[in-house]
Amino acid sequence: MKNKDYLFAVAAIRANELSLLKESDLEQLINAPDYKKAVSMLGEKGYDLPAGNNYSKMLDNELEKTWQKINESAPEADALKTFIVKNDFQNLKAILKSEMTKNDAKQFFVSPCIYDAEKMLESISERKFEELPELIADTAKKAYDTIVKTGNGQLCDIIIDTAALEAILSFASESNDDTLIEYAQQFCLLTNVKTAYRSVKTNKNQTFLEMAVAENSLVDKKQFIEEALKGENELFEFLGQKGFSKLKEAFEKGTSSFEKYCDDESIRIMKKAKMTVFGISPLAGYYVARETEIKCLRIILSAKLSGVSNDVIRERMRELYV
Amino acid sequence: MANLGLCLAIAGAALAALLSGMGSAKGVGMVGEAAAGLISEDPSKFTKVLILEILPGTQGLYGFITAIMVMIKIKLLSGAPVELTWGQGLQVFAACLPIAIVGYFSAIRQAKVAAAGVSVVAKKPDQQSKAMVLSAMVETYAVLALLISILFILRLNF
Repeated sequence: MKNKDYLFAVAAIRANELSLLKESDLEQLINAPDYKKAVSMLGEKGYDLPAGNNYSKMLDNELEKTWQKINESAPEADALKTFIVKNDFQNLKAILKSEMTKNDAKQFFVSPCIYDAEKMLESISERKFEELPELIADTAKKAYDTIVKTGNGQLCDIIIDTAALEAILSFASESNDDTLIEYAQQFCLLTNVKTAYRSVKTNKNQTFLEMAVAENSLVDKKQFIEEALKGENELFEFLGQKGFSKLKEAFEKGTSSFEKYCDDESIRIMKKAKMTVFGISPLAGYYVARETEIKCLRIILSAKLSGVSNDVIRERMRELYV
Repeated sequence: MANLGLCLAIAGAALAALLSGMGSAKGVGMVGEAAAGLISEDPSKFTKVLILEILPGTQGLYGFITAIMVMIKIKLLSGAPVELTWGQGLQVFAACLPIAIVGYFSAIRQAKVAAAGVSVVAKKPDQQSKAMVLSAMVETYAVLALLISILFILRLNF
């Protein structure tokens, strides 16, 4: 696909960007006296009102609608699978875990995703791994065998997470779009950091880390593992030299602070797409913008339901695209 | 070839109309595609993007004017074309080149700026005039090329 082939889609998406929520909109929602008022304010912004307290389903639908809109306007949106393929692997995790625990996997399915999760569930339930999509099949079989033979859920997660990161990097590199590639590389690195940090805290060995850490072009995998094995301070010092000086601070403040850091770094990369007219990156930027907006709404609505203070909500707000 | 001069002159006129027309068609198509994307979401912006879409179409008009001027100069329209030596024909051919070549490339470049302008209109409709000015800047070079072609054609003596 040539960059000029996205002219229609980019212009359509630019018009849609006008309806993205701004910081002032989020501030109004945070200041809403209660959940009901916040939901009604969201209704004024074009969101469908959720039934009862089930805002989660409503927000899932909004993201699904965004994905459909982008797909309908773009002549070809394979590269955008960079942003949703993680959901397919997340669904795979849910299916495998439910196979072991005999729970209903459907309640843990996330969307939008590339493949029909219910079909995947059917194939895995019947142990017909060959019927799974090519991208998922090998990983699913390997993860299933691992969990059946060893009963080690963590190992199973690592197999799936590593495969997900490889898929993300692969879709991004096929797009030949610098913004998408940068996003995918950084996403991969930050996921590696999360894995390495947890591994160091639980005294995992080098073999484990070599399996759990995915290759990416931002840092050398071997050196990354070496530093991680020395300890968290050494790892953060190493990453600081690579331009991630605020990582340590974010990690020290806790998991939610680190998640915020990851989202903010991602949106900063995607903001470059605001200045782009041709190519797929403006569409990607819009998807990430909506994803971030919906994440913020989830935080606000959940906090309103549980009575969390406005200051805490503000601390957790992500940087927005617009 | 007795008519080589006339052939060269006609080829020049055809080239001026062809290349600049091709550039304009491509350019208007590009901006039209972007405009359609915006209108699909917000039909009220039709008139604002229409002006941007028209801008890369002017090069085609310049090529057409040049071709007509050549046809008048060599009296092709009257049905009794003048006798031209191959040297004179080549002069007419060369005179058509500025608008033919500059017309083609400037139309495409202008279309890129205009398509970017559609995004400006999408997000900030009140800034439409700035988007138009940016796109019109590219027009300067097409106008200069048209002037040179016309001056050449007018100053040719035969």
